[in-house]
Amino acid sequence: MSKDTFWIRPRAISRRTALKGAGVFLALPFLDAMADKSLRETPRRMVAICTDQGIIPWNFFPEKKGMDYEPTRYLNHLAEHKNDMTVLSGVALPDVDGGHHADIAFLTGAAHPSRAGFKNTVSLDVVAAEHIGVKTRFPNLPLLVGRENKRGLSFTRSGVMIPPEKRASKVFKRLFVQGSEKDIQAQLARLQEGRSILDVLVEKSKKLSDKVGKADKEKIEQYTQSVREAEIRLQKMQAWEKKPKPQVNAKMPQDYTENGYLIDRSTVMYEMAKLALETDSTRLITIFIEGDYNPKVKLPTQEIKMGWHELTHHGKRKEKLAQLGAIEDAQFKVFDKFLNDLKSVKEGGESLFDRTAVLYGTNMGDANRHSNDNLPYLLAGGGFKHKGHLAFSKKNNYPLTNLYLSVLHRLGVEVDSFSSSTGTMSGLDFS
Amino acid sequence: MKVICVLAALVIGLTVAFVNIKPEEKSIVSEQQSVEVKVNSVAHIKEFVDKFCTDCHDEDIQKGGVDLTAINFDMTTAVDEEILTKVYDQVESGTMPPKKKKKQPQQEERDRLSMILSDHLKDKLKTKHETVGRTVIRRLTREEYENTLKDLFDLPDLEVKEFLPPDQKKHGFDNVAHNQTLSHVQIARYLDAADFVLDSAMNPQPRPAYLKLDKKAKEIRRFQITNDKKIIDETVYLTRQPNSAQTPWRLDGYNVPFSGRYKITMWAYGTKLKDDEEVSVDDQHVLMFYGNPSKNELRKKGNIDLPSNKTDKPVEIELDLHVGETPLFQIATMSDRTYGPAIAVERVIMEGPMLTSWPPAGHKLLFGDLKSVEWKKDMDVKQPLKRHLNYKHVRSQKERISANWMVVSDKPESDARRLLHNFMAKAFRRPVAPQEVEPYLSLVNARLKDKYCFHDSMKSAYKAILCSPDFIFLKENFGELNDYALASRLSYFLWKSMPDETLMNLAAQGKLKEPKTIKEQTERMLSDYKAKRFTHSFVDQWLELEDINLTFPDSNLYPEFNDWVLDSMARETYTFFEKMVQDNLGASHLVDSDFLMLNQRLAELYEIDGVRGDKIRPVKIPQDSVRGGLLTQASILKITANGTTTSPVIRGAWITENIMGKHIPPPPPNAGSVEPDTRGATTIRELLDQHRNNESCKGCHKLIDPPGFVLESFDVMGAYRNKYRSMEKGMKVKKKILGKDTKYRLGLDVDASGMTLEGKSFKDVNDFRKILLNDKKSLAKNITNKLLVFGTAAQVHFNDRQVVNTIVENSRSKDFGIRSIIHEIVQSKIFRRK
Repeated sequence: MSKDTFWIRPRAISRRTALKGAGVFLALPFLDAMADKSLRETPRRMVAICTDQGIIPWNFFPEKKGMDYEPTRYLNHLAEHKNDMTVLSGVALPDVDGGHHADIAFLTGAAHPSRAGFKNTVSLDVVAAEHIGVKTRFPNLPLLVGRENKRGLSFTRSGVMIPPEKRASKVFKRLFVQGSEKDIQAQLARLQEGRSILDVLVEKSKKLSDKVGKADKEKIEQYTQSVREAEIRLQKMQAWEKKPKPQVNAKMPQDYTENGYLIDRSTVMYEMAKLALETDSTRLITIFIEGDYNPKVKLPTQEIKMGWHELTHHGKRKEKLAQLGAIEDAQFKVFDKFLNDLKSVKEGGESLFDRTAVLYGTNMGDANRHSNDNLPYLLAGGGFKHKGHLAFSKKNNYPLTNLYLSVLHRLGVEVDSFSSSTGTMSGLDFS
Repeated sequence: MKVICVLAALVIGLTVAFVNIKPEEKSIVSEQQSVEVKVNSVAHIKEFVDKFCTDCHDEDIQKGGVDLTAINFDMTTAVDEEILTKVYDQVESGTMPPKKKKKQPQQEERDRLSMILSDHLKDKLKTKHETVGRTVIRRLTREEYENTLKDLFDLPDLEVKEFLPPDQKKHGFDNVAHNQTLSHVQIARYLDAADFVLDSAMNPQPRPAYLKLDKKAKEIRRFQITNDKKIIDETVYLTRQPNSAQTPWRLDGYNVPFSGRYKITMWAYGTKLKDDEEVSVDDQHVLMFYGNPSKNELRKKGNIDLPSNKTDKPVEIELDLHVGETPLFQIATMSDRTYGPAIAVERVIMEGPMLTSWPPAGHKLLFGDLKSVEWKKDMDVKQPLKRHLNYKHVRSQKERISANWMVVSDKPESDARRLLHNFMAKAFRRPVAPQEVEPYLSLVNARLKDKYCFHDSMKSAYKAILCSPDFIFLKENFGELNDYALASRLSYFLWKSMPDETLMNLAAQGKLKEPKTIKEQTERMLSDYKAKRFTHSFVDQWLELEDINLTFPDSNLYPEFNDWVLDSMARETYTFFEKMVQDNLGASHLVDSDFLMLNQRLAELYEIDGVRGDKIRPVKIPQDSVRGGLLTQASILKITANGTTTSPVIRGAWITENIMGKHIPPPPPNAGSVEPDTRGATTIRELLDQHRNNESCKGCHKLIDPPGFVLESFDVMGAYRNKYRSMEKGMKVKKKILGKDTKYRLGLDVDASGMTLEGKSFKDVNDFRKILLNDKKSLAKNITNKLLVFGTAAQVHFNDRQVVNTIVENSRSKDFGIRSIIHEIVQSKIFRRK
């Protein structure tokens, strides 16, 4: 959707509806003409997570390259998954700078987010959704661990943020609680309008193609074909709208709306993400973990005395580092639980984990300096031959957009490039 | 089968005989024989290729990605045509086979091949173009799509191109028809875009109130909360520009309730405070205004000059803003480290929207004079569907404008028919037969039957029209273009948009095709403000100016660089080319000019005195200046650099291809690149010399590097330099730039001298200019080629070369003036035929 329409607060509700509408058309979906084919194929999924206050680099990056690296303080929390993940070092998003501002380009790779005149571009999950989104009820699902959905990771083709959902209860409702008849009817009507329009266009172009020469005819037929395919996608969307939502054995989650509940919020959102994947409600999830509204993080283990953001400007002072380290320890612990949960769900002889690429990282390499290079980053999950610690040059960082292209290919999206990518990720193969 | 065998035998037999036919004898060859001669020419070309080329260019080696054994001589694909054209060019110019090969053709053999291949290419292309045309049906690019909708609905600030995926470039431009693709994704986006555009154009709600917000500066929240100000009495003194992480000076409270044009009147001036007293200054300050659609996004809107010192006269600026946007500004002349100068702001008025009529023109086009009402529950139709509102639905807790306004009709069927027909003729850019309305009308009727309101029912049909092939394709008839096709070709060339009423009327009268009319219309169109779309788009693509934002110079090395200089340098190049078109300046101006298009910031960058304020204007070049033409414009010097360092290879390749029009083959695989030494210990030139002495690199780099060396005198933002800046090696520089202490050092000396491929030596850019000016025709030919691709949406084929030559020669008497060249192009048969 064009950016000029959807950002005024008084219309927050209509914006949501409209963007959902946009999703219908924009993020549309690739169709398996044959249902049995889609049953045979292995579903591939992705969860991309960005924590926006950085990760203390020396607590994260291991020294040795390859499989037998010595796990660092943070990686120790993920020790169980050592063979199922690749830790990346020496990676960055080319020309993505601006300290905190880099978060909005975390999955788009758009250059210079803090610059005047900046325009964001399409995010990784939305590109994937254009192709595989139709296979599920929700083409993609942007989530937020935070309090204000002003920032997020998912952006449409026109560079407009798809507002992430911050309340776990709302996610739960969208995924598992049947919508009102009125909403369903409105959406169906919208899809039906699209289909009627496309019907007229098919007829129109058929007539036109009889009137033009051979070379032009090919172009017109390509148009006709495109309209037909678009129509089939709308039809598929209607079918989703009519299908009852899946039932899950879980209770409506609690929303932690108070400041400081970073870890609790993360826990429930990871839980929602797991449920969404488990029920195949979506295959593409983004989770943005926001610092601004977690000022003084509440930890069960110790009292944190300063705001999270304030702590990141630690100036290497011990006291600050100890507190920041404790917060990040807790983050890695809940992330570890998320990975374990994905492993515990079985699907067709494999686990959910085996079919999901989990990207976890931050937009700042060193929050103390607000730098945007040498990003702490890891890739977990199935589908790749994991390499332990894949190290690139700290001076000339390797483009993360190459990883994004590899992930797209793993998802079955055969595009030539993504954002600033120069190719697929070197040293990372599919399993 | 037999026939073919016999023919084949004949071919082989005749080959020898044919080689001996001299050119002048060829015409005597009878028609019957000529068939054989054609087959024969293929055999001859093959023989030459086998003898001299396939050592490297075969299936196994495919040097340069070229396999000459796989060529189809009937040229069924574009690749065949491209490769055969290359073979001609390389053999004719003597570039291939490479000099290092022992086996070289005799000059006689070269000439013969050139002649035969030339005939073959012309012959095949002629047949092809006569049966299908030079080009195929083409789709509007997303830029053309947006412009068309802007003009169709009179919505100058419409932003819709981002809905569509970007168009791929080929032959340097994004509109080349053969290269266009279409998929379901695009169709889905057309539907969405049409929905958005129609909502923007449809305005059933009551006329928005004229709003006038008048505030004292100290009431503006953004000014209140900042530390970077001082308030003395009624005046706010802004003492710094917010840094990149902070919100610029936002005029809080001036939130736009309806998309449209607003006027801002500001009592503001530049000054300086000393002990809280204003000190008289001579500084010229500039404000850059933006719309602010969302927290992180800024839409550039316009700049204004501020008066120096206190005055009663306010400054004014008009801005097109979208609903919900808040205007904001940056102080272009300050940085976040500026201490001393201040911008005094006393009072700000914003008023608008400035409407010329209600309902707006776009609404009238869609609904004529039909009335609007507010939907009520007891009506027999469904509630209007949700829309993209271009006005604030909820103005305040008390005030609401219903989102349920809708256009109604007493005679839906006949109104629909009339309105659709009228709209289709405009949107399709041609007359529309009455029966063409039927499918769209049936859509309206079906919606009405389903109890959708008239407004929404019509919208469905309009949406279909905007997604239909008649709208998104430019359909051209075969052979000589008819008046309507010609009208579109002209307007999509010179306006990047649909033809206006004048063009359509001339087409309806069948007059447009007359050369005299074409000439008059071209004059009129080039003088219209819409011609800026042509110059802008052409320059963006041809000179790659669209990439100007791609890099941002390192702020330690180039503290002078900021958004204002970036904005100004792009405007310099656009206005420079505009002036070339408006004043019919010769192609030589690409290389040399006696004026520059400057504002204060650029003049500072170019070290030229006496230019104040933001407005770009022509300035005579001082005697001793190194500037002039395109090559020394900051924008060009910036896009050919990477932000930190410059590379003569990249700049050289840019000049060679874009200005001199010479094609450079891509570097061989694994060629690698020379990485500049950022520490400043070795110059790029010394590094490059190493590879230039390497046999396999030498061939191309002798051509590419010299023009790049010339531009070593200019840094990544286009400033002149004698020494390279560095962060590690060299002399420290004690200086304050925009309030910041400089951190860079001055290192090694720049050497801008060199020698061209032809052996002409030069010591600096002024010398090099003279060399380029020796061959004005090449400069003219290059730009003619580019304009032809851009104007006809097709590549310049081998058989178009004669036309190109004629165009160029015809403009010689006007010193190869750009406007003359454009006139020649639109009169040429390439332009006037499909």
